[in-house]
Amino acid sequence: MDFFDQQDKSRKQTGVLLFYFTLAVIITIVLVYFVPVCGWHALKIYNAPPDASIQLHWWNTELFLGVCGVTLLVVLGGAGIKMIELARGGGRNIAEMLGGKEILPDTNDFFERRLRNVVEEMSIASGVPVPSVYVMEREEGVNAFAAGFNISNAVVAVTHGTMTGLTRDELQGVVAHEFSHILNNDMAINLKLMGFLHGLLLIGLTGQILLRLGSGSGHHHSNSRKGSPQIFGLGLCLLVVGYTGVLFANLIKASISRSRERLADASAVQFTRNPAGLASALKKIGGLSTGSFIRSAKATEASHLFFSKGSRGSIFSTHPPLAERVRWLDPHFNGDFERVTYEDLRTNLHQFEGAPEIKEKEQPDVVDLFTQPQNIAVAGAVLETAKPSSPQPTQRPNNPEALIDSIGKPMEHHAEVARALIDSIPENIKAHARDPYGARMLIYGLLLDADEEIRNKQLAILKDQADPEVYNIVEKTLPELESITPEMRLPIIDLSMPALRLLSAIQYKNFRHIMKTLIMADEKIDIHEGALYTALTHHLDPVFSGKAKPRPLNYYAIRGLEQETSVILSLLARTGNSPEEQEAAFESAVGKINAPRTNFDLLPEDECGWEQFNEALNKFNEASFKVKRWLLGGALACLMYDKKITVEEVELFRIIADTLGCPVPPWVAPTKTRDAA
Amino acid sequence: MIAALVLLGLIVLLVIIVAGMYNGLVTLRNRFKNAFAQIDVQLKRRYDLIPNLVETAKGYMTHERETLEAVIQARNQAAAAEKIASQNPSDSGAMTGLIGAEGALSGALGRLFALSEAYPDLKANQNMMQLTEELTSTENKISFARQAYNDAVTAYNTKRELFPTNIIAGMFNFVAATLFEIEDAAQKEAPKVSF
Repeated sequence: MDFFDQQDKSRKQTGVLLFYFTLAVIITIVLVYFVPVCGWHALKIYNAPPDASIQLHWWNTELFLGVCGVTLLVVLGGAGIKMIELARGGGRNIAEMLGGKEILPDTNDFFERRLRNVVEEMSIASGVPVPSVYVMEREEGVNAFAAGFNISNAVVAVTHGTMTGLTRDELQGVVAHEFSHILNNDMAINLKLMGFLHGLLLIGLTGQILLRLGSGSGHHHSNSRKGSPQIFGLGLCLLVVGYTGVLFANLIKASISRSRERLADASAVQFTRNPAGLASALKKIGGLSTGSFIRSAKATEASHLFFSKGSRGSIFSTHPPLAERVRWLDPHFNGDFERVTYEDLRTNLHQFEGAPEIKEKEQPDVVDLFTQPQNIAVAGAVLETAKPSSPQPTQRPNNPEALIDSIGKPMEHHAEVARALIDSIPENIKAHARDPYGARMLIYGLLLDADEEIRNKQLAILKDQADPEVYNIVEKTLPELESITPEMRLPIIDLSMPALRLLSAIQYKNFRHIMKTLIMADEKIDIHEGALYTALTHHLDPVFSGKAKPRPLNYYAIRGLEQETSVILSLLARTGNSPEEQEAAFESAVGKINAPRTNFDLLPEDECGWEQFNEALNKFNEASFKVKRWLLGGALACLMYDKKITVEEVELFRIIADTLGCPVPPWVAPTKTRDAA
Repeated sequence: MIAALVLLGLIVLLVIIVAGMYNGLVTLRNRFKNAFAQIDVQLKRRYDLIPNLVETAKGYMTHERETLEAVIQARNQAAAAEKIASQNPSDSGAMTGLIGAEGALSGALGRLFALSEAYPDLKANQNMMQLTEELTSTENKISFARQAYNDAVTAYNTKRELFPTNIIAGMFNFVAATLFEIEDAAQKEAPKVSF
């Protein structure tokens, strides 16, 4: 099963979820109706004189309808609002809800830097923009999760224990597992689960509140009323019913979650080709006294999100048993977890990876320079010690057809390529990419034209519209910007993404405007400019417009998207081929799509500009993955028509695919390493 | 019975709406706290640079010990204020303290640079040039991050004051956050010497 089937199947799982949820709601309604009625009857029998014949009324239509209405209102309302809330902020909100703190992209802390490096490598290797990284600082257990409803707003969060207790290999295993969740689209399902669960939870919660109201505690009335038994009774009933609902919800959650976890473990191994790393991380969870425990009170609601089950001793496990997971990875495992302590792990890391010692490093608050001269490094110390030496990746035979098959399935050699790509980017450029101030400037720099005249025009725009300091930095960085080769561009854009997300809405608006002006300085849009603009706006616009929400699925066949397909393929045919070949390239793409009863036209140039192109791509985001696959196949055929495919074309293809939520791992290794340069 | 159920439903609905507004406020508060972390990183960087700068200048500006000490003192005060503020960026008292200390530090640094004009050797010193460069770029980053922080604070404060969120904000004690506007102490003092 390839990536596209997987995605569509993952979407179908929503249907299964909906079915179970409806079932749970119906059962809840029945229970909400019958539990009080039974209670009422029991009371009646209990109070009645022994010889009296009792009339039992089991059915009361009005009451039943009332119960139906209220239960539906509560459950659906609760689930709906929760889902809207979760979707609004994407992964960020969830990470923050669970007590996560964002790790700034330019952090200098050893552990934070190491984690970010691992995440950056994984992102470049899988071809997705680097997600924001959170750490749950108060959690000592070893655990992690990925959240968000699609790739552009995904976050990866790990506990403090994971960040500071695991070796780099283990950390890589854990992060690869989380990336598999991102690539397999498990996150969207998880968010829906959380929403549904919340709705069902609300009934029990209402019961709890009523119980407290009824028993009179918590509220002090002036007339010292001792609560009312009716309300108390109702509260108790709702509590019982509510938790029955939660029981069902947990069953649903467990059944869906467990298989996804197994899949994520398997993909993580494919990705890192290092089952030992993941296995050893899992063994540590088994051996630590804190295990994978999450303290946060909200953890139950989100238990299915985590790397390993967050709460202890639940029969409705969201994850397969730990020993079993280790055994999949390491068949010789005997099931005994070797006891370790957090301190042991830290000492180990200190010895082998040069991590700072466990002693809390407290910086002196006050420096008295005249008695105690300080020796602080001038340039920001970049911690690179934890990085393993990267072997030069073997250049794979470049078969463009393989591009589509590699979508969403990063392999070990992609990780190698990614590492080499990151290494080949000049240090200074990387430093800029990691802070909002420099990242903005870097994107401006990437848009500078090779042509002297246009470049001067662009620099004048910068001088005029950006603040003068940005202009100065761009000018100073010019030689390094010139050394950037085409295959480095996309990784640089991906690396800058977390920093750019940190801009304020006003700053972003300004940034976007200047970017547009720079692109239009020569009154035409080149491939690389258009590609950059598409990639950035697609991932950043939703972050700042506050309109980030999951896309509905509206198109199941390419027929509904004839116009859009024509726009996309026309633009590709016109940019990637010489004028006389454009027609033929377009035709070959249409032949590749091979959809009956459809009609695609090669549009004239003014009807297939980048604006229309972006709009068309947005429309395609509402299509099923099967449809997206057809389009991508056509797009590739178009770019490859002239029998040669340039790096720019591949990068454009990768950006198109990425925009559609089908990340393509890097395809070309850097043409030169920094040592050679 | 039906009426009671409807009432119950309405109450639950109200609770849901209130929870939504509450969460909205929490989200915005988290946003500006995160934005402060960005300033924080750069401020720390600046506090690390200043002792080096003073150390380098000390060798040349032998007669300006007072100014140099004033810079160090202002730096220490600012570092202490930053420590308090970073613990809770929504505490307006701590933020005001930091703003004041930062203003004083900028003033002291300004005086140092003004004096350094008289020492061409110092200005030509390689280390000094590099440090000044680093300091300038850090300050640019600070002002950029400050802008982002202020935007986030404004979004939070606006939401806090608008109906109906203001009721929730009052109930759960969401206090107004303080904008990070640095008044330049040097600028304020300038008129004093005009006579």
